[in-house]
Formats: sequence, structure tokens, C-alpha cells
Amino acid sequence: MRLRKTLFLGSLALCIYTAADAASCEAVSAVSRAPAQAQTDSKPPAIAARPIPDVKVIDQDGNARHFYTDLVKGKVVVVNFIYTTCTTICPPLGATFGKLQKGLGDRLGKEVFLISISVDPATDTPSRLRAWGAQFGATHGWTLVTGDKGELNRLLRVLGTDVASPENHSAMVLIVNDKAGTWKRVYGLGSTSALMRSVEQMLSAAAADSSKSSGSALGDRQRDPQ
Amino acid sequence: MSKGRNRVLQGGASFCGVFLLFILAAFKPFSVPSTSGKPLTTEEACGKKIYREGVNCRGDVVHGVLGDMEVGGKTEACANCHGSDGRGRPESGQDPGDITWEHLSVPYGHSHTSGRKHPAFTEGSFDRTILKGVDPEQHPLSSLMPRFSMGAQDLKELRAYLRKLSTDFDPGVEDEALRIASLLPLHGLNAEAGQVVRAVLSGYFDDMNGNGGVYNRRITLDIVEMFDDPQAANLGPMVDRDFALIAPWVAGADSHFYSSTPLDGMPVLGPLSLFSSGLSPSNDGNESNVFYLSPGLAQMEAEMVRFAISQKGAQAARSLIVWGDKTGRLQSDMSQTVLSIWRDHGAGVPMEVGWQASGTPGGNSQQTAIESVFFIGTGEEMLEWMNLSISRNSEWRPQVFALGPLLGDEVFHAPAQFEGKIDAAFPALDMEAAAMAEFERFAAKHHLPKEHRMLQVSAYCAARILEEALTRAGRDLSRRKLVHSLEQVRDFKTGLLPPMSFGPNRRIGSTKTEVLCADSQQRKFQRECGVAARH
Repeated sequence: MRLRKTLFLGSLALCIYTAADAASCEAVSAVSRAPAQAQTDSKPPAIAARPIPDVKVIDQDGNARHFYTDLVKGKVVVVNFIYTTCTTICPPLGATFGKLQKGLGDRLGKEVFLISISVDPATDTPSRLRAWGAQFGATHGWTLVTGDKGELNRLLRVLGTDVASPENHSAMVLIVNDKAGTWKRVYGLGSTSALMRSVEQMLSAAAADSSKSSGSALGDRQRDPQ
Repeated sequence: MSKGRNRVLQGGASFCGVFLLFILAAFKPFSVPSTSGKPLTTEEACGKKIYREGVNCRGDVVHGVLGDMEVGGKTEACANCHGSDGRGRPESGQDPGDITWEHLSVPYGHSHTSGRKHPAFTEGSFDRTILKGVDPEQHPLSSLMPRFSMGAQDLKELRAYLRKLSTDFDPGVEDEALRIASLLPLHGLNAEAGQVVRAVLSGYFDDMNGNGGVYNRRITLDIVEMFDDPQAANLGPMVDRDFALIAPWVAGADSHFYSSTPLDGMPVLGPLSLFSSGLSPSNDGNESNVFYLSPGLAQMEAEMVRFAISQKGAQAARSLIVWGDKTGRLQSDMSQTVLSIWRDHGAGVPMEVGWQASGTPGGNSQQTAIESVFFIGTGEEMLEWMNLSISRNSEWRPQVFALGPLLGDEVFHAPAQFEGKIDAAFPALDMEAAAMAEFERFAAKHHLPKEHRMLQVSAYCAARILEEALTRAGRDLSRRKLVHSLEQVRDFKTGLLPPMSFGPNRRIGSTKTEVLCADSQQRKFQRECGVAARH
């Protein structure tokens, strides 16, 4: 686990240093998960699925939700990781989501959903999340979640973004097409145009797949049995 | 001792001295620079506004571009990444760096871990950095550094402030002194209590100063007079002069006062108040800089209701809430809190009546059906209500639940049928023998009167927590650091009040409440009624 994390962080650092286009981070980060596959694939890799825990979370309106069942299952979601007392990278992450929200227009909340997960649930109450999201115009379709620290850590571990302290949280954005079982990792502080392109690619693929098989094997596999 | 040995010793001493000087010279000593003591010039103050708020003195939001995204204002203000002290704060692998002018202009230039090197910043190269995001050698900076749109005046003001940044301390912070204020009544009805609190704080800080103060700073106590109308106090000079506020007396107008008074982030610790912030007992989501030590009336009433339901079997249908407070203030402040506690228990809410009602409306049969009365008002108001009620039904003996801090000795003169039937909620105490003895020694040393003992204890505990928080915050002090330090307080024992805990979402140190029974024979409140305790 430590070696994979080291490889992942190392590849992330490489992305930052070279100021590479955000999309290129997807292929690079895939090395940490499926080395043999990433060397040869030219299209965004389908990273090996791990069950997404269906942990209980609380959204910015104080509603209890199940993360996978209520927020991810069968959807295309874009996920970032923030905490409300973070002042360095979280405002840009929030602004990026705000810009994404504008670009997605009516599709947000219908075809695609934004999720911000707090990496400091001990501090981030629903009201704090709501106030934080309001800075960036968060509206319907953009859910901010907090919850029990242990449960959130379990979720972050599976998503590959758990860290010892919130100050070291990841700037990565995950784009997930649950039905198709495909994931992308994109650097959340890079070009918003590139991020938007990645989201559009995922939406196009989702639209193309929408007439195919009903229910994804991956979607079922991803639900962590309680 | 031989001359040779003397020379060796002298030579050794000289060598040590030179070595020590070399060590000191080789390392840039990290110490807080001396405070200039001078207020900011207009130019510097405008630069500070840009630095901290992302807005200039003309009211224009400072805009910029981050990657391909327009940003601006507070969310992208310099201080967010570079810190209010300008020294930078690494986060998620990003290191924003020290941008105090002393650092930017070091004569030997800069060498970054990435390998990027460049000479010292000049005014011209600094401006290019802000506008174009390049260092003095034209190397691009991190993509996280916005490229700002600033005019010449904005840049001049920002540079002026960066020159001042490392010596721009929060008000009240000096090299060898720290000014702490308290708001107290010095004249009128509450003057005696105000003078007693002043004596406690003076005595405590004198003792601290006798032990060297905090990190070589002596505490200077600034007493600001509080009038009957809190809004009449002109607190601007205090906010500009003093670092923090301790044990203020705001005459029961807390929530309005603290929300409407611009305190500029001034930490407030231990208000002497029955109206603690966040009337919701959940203590959630309060971002104010006001830290209460004990529960307020709303919290106490909430615990009283829980106690009555769990310990005395009170049922909503057989209970009555009497808003005895003739000003109506308590009802307007507490009604929702009290009713929400009843709703949480899922069995409806009691009937509510105002102070004019004697017992229940509707006659004797309804009155007799009431077994529990939650009286919310002063002791005098309660007696008046009791006498009116029993005039309608002399046999009526409901259990009465009241708020202890609002009751005086008159409660022991309640009508005989209420003997043993009055329970009162108080903030819990947690007195340990050693701490009590120490407090008594403190009181004797500083000639404190026997009266107003609880006020003395509250002020004393506030001072103890302040000392602890200042110690934890360190020598490099700011209002924000003190707030953060207070938020880290967990189970702090004063030995007089229950252990105190604060947090990012917690502004009441202890919400512990105890319920005591009024014993008119002994003329005091006794513990036999049981304890309702929550942390």
C-alpha cells in the first residue's frame, strides 16, 4: 500500500513539476494502480474496480445519505476533496467546481453530479459545508458531504485519498461513470478546460452506453455489502 | 594555577565566544521582530486590505487569473496561502513561500528546491511577479499563483504592506506587554460586582507578571466601563488597542451585542452572562470568537426538561410552560429551544401560558391535571404566579421546575404547598479541595470580599484558561492563533468548574447542568433532587 501510494504521489509530483496538461495525469496516475496496463493503453484506463463503501454521510443540508446508493450508483459523478478551513488549495478547487457547474448548465443534477467530500469531518459540519459551497455558487447537483470520521476515512481509503492530516489532502478530482465502471483521475488544480473535456468525454461515453445493457456489473460489484 | 593553564582557559573561552558568535551569525535567528509600535500608514493599511481581503481601499475587488479561470476577492487573497504573517503555509505539497519584504529582498537571492534560482526581488520584479507570475529571472511560478490585475497604486500599497508585514502585530501585542481588556460595570446597580471581577483579574495578572508573564510579555489589564445599555459603549478604541477581551459583562444582550459589534476577530473569553451564544444546546456551527465557560439559560432549561422527563416522569400533556418573565425577553430567546427538546421526545409539547395567567386557563379541572410546571422567570415573578395560582385552587401542588440563576432567597418563602416541590437548574460546579484551597489563598492575598463568589470563580477560571491558551499559542501571537489555541482546549481542569472543552464547532466550555431542590427549612438548594449532567 505504501509503495503504491509512493508511486502515486511520485507520479503526481511529476505532473505538477512539468505543468503537464491535466489529462495526462490520468495515464500517469494509472501506473500506481495497474502498471502493466498503463504502459500500452492509449485511451483513458478503466482502473480496477474496488467496492465503494456505501458509508453514511451527511450533506450540506443536514440530510443523511448513503454515499454509493444515493450519490453515485448509476450516475456520472465528479468528486473532489476539500475541507472548509483550508485556505490554500481548496478555494481554487471550489472555484474550479464552480466553473464546471456553470459549464455543465442544465446537465448538472441530471446527467452529471458534483460531489465534494470533506477530509476534515470532525470540523466540517453541514452548515460549514453549505457556507463554503455558497462562496462558489454551489447549487442543485453539487453535493458536499461530511459524516463520521471513521466512515469517511474508510471511503477516502478506497478512493485513494486518505492522508494522516487534512493539510496533506489530495488535489485530485475523480470522474466516475458508475454504469460503465470507468474512472478517471484528473489533477484538480490544472486547466479547467481540460477538466471539462474529461467530464465531457465521460458524458459522451455514458450517453453512448445508455442504450446498452441495463445495470452495470461493476455498479453492482462496487456496492460494498454492509 | 599556572600561566600556561590560564592561557588555555582564556583561549578556550575566547574560542567559545567566537564560536558562539559564528553560530549566531550563521543562522538567521528566528525570533519575532521588535514591534515598531507605530500604527500603519494609510498606504500600508490599504496594502493590508489587499493582502488580507483581496479588495483595495477604493472598494475594487482585486481580480486575477488562475490557470484559465478568473478568480478574485477574499477567496484568492494573498493571506490565504501566504498566511496572515506572510511566512507561507505548506499544504498538499504546495509551498506558497515567505513573502515578507525582508525575505524577498535578501541580497544573496533565492534558490528553490525545484532548482529554480533568481536574485533578490526589486520593486519592478515584484510587480512583474504579481502581474505575470514570473520570478526575477522570468521563470514561471507555480500554477497555483494567480496572475493578478492590479494598478500601480494597488501594487505600491501592497509593497508598502509587505515591508511592514513582519512587524504588523495584532492590537495589544508588544515586545514585552500584552493588553487584555475587560468590560465591566463600574457605576450603578452592578458596580460592586464589576469591582469584584476587576479585583480578580488584576490579582491574577499581577501573579502572572510576578512569574514573568507569558513568553516575557507582561499582561496589562485595560478595564473599559460597560453601561446599562451595551450599545452605548464606544468599543472601537478598545478593539484597536487591546488584544483580547476577558470576562466581559454585557448585561444580557450577548447575541445581539457580539453579532453587531465589530470586534475585528478579537477573542472573547468567559463572558459573565446567562445568555451563552448559540441558544441551541447543540453548540453547532458557531464560528464566533466568543468562548463561554458555562451553559446559559437556554442550555440549562433544555437540561431541565430532559431531567424532568427522564427522572420525574414529566409528560407533555400534563405539563405547563409558564413564561413568567415580564419583559418577554426569555420567551423570545428560548421558546424554540425549549419546545424543540419536547419535540425530540416525540410526545407533543406542553401548553404555554404567559405571566398574566394564574395557573391554567379553563378552570380547576384542567389546573389539577397539570403535574409539572416549567416556570421561566425570576424568583419574584414565580412567587407572584404561585400565589395567584393557589388562590384558584389551594390543593394544587405541581412539581415546579425553575432556572436557578434567576432565583433569589425569596424562593424559600414560597407557599407551603410547594415545599419540596421546586427543582432548579444551575450550571454545574466541580470543586476539588486543592483547587478550592488555592482559590481561597488567592482571594485572601488579593483581599477579595466574600460576596459575589461565583462571579469571582468565573473570572478566575477565565483567566486560568486564557493563561493556558496563551502559553499554547506561543510567542508568535495573533488573535487568530489565540482562537485556534482555545479551540484545542480539551478537558481543561480548573478544579472549580467542570472540565472545559472547546472546538471548532464548540463555544461553550462545559454544558453540565445540575438540578437541585429548594429546601425552605435549610434555606438552601440541596442535591437530593438528583443530577442532570451532560458534557
